[in-house]
Amino acid sequence: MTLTDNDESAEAQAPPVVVALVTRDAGPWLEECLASLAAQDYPNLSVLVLATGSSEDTLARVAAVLPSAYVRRLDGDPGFGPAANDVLQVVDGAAFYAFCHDDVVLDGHAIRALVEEAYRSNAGIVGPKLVEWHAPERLLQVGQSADKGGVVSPQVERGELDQEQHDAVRDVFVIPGGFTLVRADLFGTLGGFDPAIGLVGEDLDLCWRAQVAGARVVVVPAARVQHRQSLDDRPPADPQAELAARHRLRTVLTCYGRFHLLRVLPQLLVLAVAEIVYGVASGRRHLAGENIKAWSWNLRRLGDIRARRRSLRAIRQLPDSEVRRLQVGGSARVRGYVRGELHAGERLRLQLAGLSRELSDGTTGPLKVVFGAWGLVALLFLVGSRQLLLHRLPAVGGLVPFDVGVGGLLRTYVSGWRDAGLGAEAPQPTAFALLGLAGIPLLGGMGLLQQLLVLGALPAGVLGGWRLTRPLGSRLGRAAAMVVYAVNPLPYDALARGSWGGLLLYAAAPWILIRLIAACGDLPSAHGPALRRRNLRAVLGLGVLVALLAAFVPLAVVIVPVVAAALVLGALLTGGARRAAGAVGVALGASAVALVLHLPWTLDFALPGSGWWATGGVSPLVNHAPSVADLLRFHTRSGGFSSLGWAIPVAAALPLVIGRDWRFAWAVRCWCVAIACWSLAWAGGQGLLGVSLPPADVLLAPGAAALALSVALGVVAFERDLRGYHFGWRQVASLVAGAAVLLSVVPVLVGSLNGRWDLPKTDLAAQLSFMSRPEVRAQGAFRVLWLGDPEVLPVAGFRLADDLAYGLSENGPGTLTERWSAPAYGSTTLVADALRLAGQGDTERLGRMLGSLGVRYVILAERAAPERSGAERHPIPAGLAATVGRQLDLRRMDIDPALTMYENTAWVPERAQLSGAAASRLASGSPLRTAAATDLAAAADPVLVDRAGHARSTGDVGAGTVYVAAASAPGWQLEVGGRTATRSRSLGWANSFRVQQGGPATLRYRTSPLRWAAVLFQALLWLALLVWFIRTRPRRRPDAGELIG
Amino acid sequence: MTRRLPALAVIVSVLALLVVFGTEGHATRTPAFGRVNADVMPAADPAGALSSTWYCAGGTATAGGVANLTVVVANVGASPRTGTVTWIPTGGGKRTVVPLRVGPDRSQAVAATDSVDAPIVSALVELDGGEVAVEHAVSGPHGSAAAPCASEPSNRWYLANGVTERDADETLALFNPFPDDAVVDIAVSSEQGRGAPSQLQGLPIAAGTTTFVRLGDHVRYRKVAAVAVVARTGRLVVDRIQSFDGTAGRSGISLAVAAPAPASTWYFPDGLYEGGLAESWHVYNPGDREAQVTLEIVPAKGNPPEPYDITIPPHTQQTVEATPDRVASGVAHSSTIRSLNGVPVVAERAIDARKPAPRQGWSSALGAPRADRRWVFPIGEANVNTDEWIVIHNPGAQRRTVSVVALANGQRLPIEGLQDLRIGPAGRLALRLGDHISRTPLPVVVEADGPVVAEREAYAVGRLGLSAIIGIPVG
Repeated sequence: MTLTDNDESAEAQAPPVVVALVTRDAGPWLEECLASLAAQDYPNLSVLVLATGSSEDTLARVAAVLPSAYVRRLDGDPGFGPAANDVLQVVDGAAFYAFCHDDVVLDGHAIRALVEEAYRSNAGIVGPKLVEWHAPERLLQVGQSADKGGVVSPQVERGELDQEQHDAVRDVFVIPGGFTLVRADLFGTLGGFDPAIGLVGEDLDLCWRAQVAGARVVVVPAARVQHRQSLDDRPPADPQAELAARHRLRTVLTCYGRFHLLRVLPQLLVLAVAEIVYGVASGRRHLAGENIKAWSWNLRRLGDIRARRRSLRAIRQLPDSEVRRLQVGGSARVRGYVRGELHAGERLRLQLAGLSRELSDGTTGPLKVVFGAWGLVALLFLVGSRQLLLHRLPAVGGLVPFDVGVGGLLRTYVSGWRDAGLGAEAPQPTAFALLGLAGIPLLGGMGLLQQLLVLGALPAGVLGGWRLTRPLGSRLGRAAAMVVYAVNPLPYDALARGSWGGLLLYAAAPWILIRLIAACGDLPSAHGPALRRRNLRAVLGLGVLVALLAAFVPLAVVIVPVVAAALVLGALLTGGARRAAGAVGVALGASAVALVLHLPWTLDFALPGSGWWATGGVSPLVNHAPSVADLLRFHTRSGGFSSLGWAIPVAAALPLVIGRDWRFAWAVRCWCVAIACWSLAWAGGQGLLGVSLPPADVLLAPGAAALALSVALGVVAFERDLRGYHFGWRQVASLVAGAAVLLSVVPVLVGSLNGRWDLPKTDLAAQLSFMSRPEVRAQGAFRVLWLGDPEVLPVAGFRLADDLAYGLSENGPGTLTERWSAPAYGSTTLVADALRLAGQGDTERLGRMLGSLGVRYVILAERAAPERSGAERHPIPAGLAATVGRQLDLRRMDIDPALTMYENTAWVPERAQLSGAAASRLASGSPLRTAAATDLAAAADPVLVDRAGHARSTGDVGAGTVYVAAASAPGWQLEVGGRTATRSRSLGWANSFRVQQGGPATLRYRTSPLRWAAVLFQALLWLALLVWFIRTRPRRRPDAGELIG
Repeated sequence: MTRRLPALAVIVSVLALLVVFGTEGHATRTPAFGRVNADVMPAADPAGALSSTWYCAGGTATAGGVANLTVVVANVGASPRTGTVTWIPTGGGKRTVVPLRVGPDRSQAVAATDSVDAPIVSALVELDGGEVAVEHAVSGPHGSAAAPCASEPSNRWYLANGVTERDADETLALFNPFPDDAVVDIAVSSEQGRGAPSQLQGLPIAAGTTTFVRLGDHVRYRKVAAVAVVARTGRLVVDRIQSFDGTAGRSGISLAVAAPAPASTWYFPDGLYEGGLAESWHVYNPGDREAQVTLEIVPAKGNPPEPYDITIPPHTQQTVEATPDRVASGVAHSSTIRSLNGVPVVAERAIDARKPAPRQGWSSALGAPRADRRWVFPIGEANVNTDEWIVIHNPGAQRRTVSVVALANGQRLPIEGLQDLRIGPAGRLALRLGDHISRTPLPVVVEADGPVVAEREAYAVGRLGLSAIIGIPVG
């Protein structure tokens, strides 16, 4: 039925509509609202003004504009919903109630359109299109949706231009407050608005319950209402967000049936906890507070909520599954964070603005040089890495595959059982947790994470090289330094040799140098006074950087103070040592912070007897280095245009001869850093330091960054100092340095041609894939003993002799978690003992000895990749080859010329059932002597072959003795048929269990509470530092450029 | 900048120092670990050793076999040793493990025919500690002979002597105790030059087997046949069983373990030539460089003759006969073969005793490449059937004192009259055990206060049999 102004009979038949206008301390907008109601073309309309709050003049104001309206004054300020509920008491005979805020203006036909559509759609609740008060052409809301947790989600972009693009009538989940038309009988059935919801959220609650009762909720865009949203002018007692949170939860608790509530409530709880943690971590305590208060507020009202659930159940017409069809999937709140909190687009815009500012930050020099340099570097990276970017990185040297998932890494991290060597109760490297957490945002894409952490080191280092020279203010200088750092052969050689540690140091070195320079505090800045940072924040900032680096290369805690000391040494030569000394303090402090952050892992190398060898991390310690000539050229492997490598030191020498003042002084400091790195690498290679050191590419990275800075200083000196000299050799030197910069590009340019920086195309995975075959695995768990140069082994090695290490991997060629070096815990030294005995000719039964340790394969590795790959050869000592070759129980296998591989014919599965006399020999306390004299393998059958996670395996065992070739520890438990078997130490180092009755069994290591406490302590430590950084971060005022974008 | 020069001077100086001292890198330095080559001669492990393994390569184990094998284990330590003898037959029968327990100062003999029946058998002796020495003996219709077993396998073995003439049978026993097959090349150097018979190139020795190679089938009628056995893959142990049928006047059987490496010096404590007793030295240069060696002879009485220098081209052998112009007839002597240019060689001394000599037989064995303080002879007897001598040579420049101790059923029995005997520099002592003791068996230990070399001579009394071998040093 259509109503028209001219149809009197229709007017008489028009269903009566009562507008309930709730007003509280209204501003001048009240009159406009009343006027719009007065102007409605709906023929059967009554207005009831419900006045709350303290304003006394409401009656007069209403009378002045809409004299026909009824005004009813309510005591206090019960809120919109409870006030609106008054219609149930005072109005009789209405067909529709229209609940109206006092800050809306209705188009003249709005109510008519709503009523028409209510009949046409048989809707219980209808609502208009809400537009902005001051700009009616912009949309506010056209109905709303909500997620399962009651978080409303807009249907339109707020402020979007209204071009009638949303003008279709449609079902929605919520009619947002402002103006809502409700069928009177429905409103009565529902009992009105929830009296406990005063402001904010009453619309959601009403609409949700209406749908549960079988009513449709429809938005009618033909009815347009301007909404001022003046709640901010009259704030409620509690913050709106807090009200929204608690009312939302109340609605959820009220409206869902039992089944859905059981499903949804735990999710909401998890989300709430996450928000609380996020709130605490990010310093947004209000966020945490809102959640806590919402839950406590509702828990206090559980009785009331139960009553409302009962009453709703009585009128329920639709199941929850039907009601939820109009809800949005997932979490609107999380999406809201992504949109509202992270501001990804905004941040990107700001970062682009920052980059733009970076590029234009220099005070001198042509911008095109900068763009040219960046273009060259980007091109080099893309061309040179083109074959690596989209493919799996081969497992060469330290580039082990990221073959452990997020869950696996985190479970390994929290476990108290370290697999290194023959295993031990020992702390895990922090890196396991860091890598696991880093894999989460990548949705577990560990291959991508590896690409980022390996190939990403190149651009990260180059960017650091660019930032390093920022204070100098010379575009040309910065570009030259960046290019020189980008074309330094160090990272490419490291990549070709599979030195992950070298790449990480390359990436981190300039960033470390930036902070050390700031700690010195006397490098003049082109952008203002010299930056001086040596406060707590500087120490902690560098400490976190060092800690992140040390998670992979623990010796970073030593390298950084050495670099700082070299800076001070340079300052001693040129003056300003007292000021520069602050760098040493900051560096030492940072290293201390890093050590603390890595507790309890730090104890692995800090406790007496733990061993220097453990400080390698992913970078093995070696006793060799290239010649000094190669070191000076940062050339750490054979091949390439090594003679052109001299270009870098030549270019970096310019400021030493033409620089004045701080240009010269800082050039000397840079050279001192470089000399310190060269000396360290050379002396370590010569064995003069008494300890093994990481490969040269790890040690030289800070020197490379320092020389890049020196190149920039040379350009600045060229720009500022050269004009002060008469024409002569200095001008020639400048030309030579410039030519050197250009020449330095050539080797890397040529190296980029093969598209993979000479990283071998293949790895040993194919050759060793037989170890993964089911029939091999079914024969029992085993270990692989690797022997060779530490740089060649795919797993972390333990020292056997200078440049000779042994490493152990389980059930294959090595995994990510086996890459981190560790002390030769307890019984691990048995492997070395056995090898030395064999080396001395004391035994020809090395196989039996190693077999009792679970070693099935012995591999002597000469190269990190197959022979045909051309990977660098590190010859196996002839004595070692002869030692292994003369063993009676090692059968040679032909795999690849790069590997000399033996299968141990006397191996005992890591988890084996022993029978007969062999079982009785386990009580012996002489592991090697007993093993050599006893053929344990003949009496061993594999058991517990199904691996069920870290330090956990399952399978059937029989009655008798179960031998577990892992270091003896009380944490090992074997449960057979629900009973725990008795554990004892066997062969003086391993575990054996006495099983009375066979059956299905589970072997596991139970992590001690102490380890859990340590994990919690470390997590809290990192979290506390993160919170501290966030809360104390300097507030940077956005400049005009940022604002304008 | 007033400080420019000092700063530059420091930087340049440090760089110069680095360049001067750091010209050589160590990027490809090969670390050291373990021993590359096996010991040149069999040696017993020291007391603290975890285990001892001995490889006895060749023999037969059949009724009436030509060289039935027996191993004799002597424990000269203070603790009992337990272990096993694993008989590894080829061509019949299964591998048999015989438990073994040898008390301190005892010896124990284990015969192959007690456990297996096979045309070829080898023995692997494993014991749980050091100070254990193992010899093996073969016996058959041509007499009997003994030699030390090998204490280590190797991928190359050398013998400087051997005869493939009509009356001779030179058999090489190639024992591969490992779980991998070995592939070997055998080269022969004779008076006719060097040869590498095609059938003996790439010869496979299956894992856990022994192969007998009758050299006469490939290199016929050679007066001297020095041999180099080089494994392309794998390791093995090589024995030589040399026998003569008497058709050309000589007869007997000789057993010798090959040398896994050449050496610069070889000592032979004993030596004699006279009517019916021929003595010769055989020197083989398996290397690629020419060897300049000298033969030094020290007679028991009289002045020593001038050293006799020999030039041996690569991969060839030379034989030096004992002649009146080199050594006085009927005068016992010690001899030393020494390389003058550092090129190591392999040296054997052969004795061919025929009538009218009072003892008959043929023996050829390697010398001792080193001197030591303690020597063990697990096999031995002094009775009416066997005339056993211990000959000790002091190659050093200082006087030494030596004693001979018998291992008598768990007791160390100092042999009366053979205690604290003195040997002057370059001197020798020849001790006839039968003059002081009569025991069967009679394992003995020679102990000295400095490095000496000891050799055992055993003669069958009134029958065929002659054995002259160097003892086993105890580390």
